[in-house]
Amino acid sequence: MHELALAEELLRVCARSLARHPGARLRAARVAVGELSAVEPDLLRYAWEAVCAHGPHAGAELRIEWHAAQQQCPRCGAHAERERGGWLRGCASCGALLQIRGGRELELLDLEIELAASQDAPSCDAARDRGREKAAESSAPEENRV
Amino acid sequence: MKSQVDVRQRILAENESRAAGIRERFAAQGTLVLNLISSPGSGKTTLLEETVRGFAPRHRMGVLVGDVATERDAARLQALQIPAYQILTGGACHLDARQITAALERIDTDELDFLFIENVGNLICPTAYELGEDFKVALLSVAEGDDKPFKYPAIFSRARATVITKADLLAHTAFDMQAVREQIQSLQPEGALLVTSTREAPGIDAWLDFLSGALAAKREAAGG
Ligand SMILES: Nc1nc2c(ncn2[C@@H]2O[C@H](COP(=O)(O)OP(=O)(O)OP(=O)(O)O)[C@@H](O)[C@H]2O)c(=O)[nH]1
Ligand SMILES: [Mg+2]
Ligand SMILES: [Zn+2]
Repeated sequence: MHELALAEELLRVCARSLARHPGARLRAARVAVGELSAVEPDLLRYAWEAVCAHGPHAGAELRIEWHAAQQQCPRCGAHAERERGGWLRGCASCGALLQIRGGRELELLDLEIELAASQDAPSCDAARDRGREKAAESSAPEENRV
Repeated sequence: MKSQVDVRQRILAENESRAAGIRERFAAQGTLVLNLISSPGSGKTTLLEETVRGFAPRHRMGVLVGDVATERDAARLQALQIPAYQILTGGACHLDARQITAALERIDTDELDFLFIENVGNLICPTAYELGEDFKVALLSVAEGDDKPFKYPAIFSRARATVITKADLLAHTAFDMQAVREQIQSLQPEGALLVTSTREAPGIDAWLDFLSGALAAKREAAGG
């Protein structure tokens, strides 16, 4: 049950991105979760609701993009069709032991935000302020660079 | 007005950069760091006790051990005269790099050949967290059954070595070693499979040889 710790971390990453859009409200976060990421999507969703509840992001939606791992034949290159959670032993065409690839994603892809009213139609002043903010931001050491 | 903000960042990026810092520190001093992961009771602490007995005084070893609530495992290892520190997770099911950084302030790891990190007994949660290790080691005891690699593919696909423990129980179970070998090969083609028992034959020599080889490879790669 590390999904709770993960949801808290995810919320921190979201909040950092959100901080660049003062007054904006978080509507949804889209994440990529791989089959070999050791994360259960439903548990992550419940945990997300729990960590968002009662805070400024209450009601923000978590959209999970699921990435299945692939089983591929190292000898003939065939991709094996399989059920989620079910693994095949050998290649259907040549019998070789299949190899498993991919499915390790655990990534925040993007946010959907609702901009503050003042940002909808920026006045010249507000636009200039934001420009200055951007400049300050890029000169500051960025802790959340990928 | 609605707007989309691209982020594209690993959720655990902060943990990963902290882990990279730990990795750098131990690369500089040529210490091999292993993260041992298994379900509760698979024999992590027992294997470490025997490893210490097998390697001392030839190698210097230290252990960090994660446990939900007790200090028992660290006490078992301290009894063997090696630096060992218990990280109490207060209920959490895994260790993270922040806890390792903090624990490294508490024991002297400057001259170690091996630093073993015994993770909290759990086959799922610790998998997602890098701790600055050179690689992960998964333990699977014979009593747990031979279907576990495919049931817990996240850990077995990441582990550079899988150690089968309690091989003395093979005679009392229907454990199919070949089935395990095939699952591991499928999940991690480069992974080693080491069969051990701390009670009787085959002992833990395969594991000790594997460790010596991995340490030598790390130091050779570093040009030392
Ligand atoms: N038969 C047999 N029993 C073993 C062997 N190795 C360990 N055990 C027993 O397995 C039990 C659990 O061993 P531990 O080393 O405490 O397991 P652990 O993985 O450290 O457990 P947690 O830290 O609680 O997750 C103990 O009773 C050991 O004596 C072995 O090779 N053969
Ligand atoms: Mg233990
Ligand atoms: Zn094939």
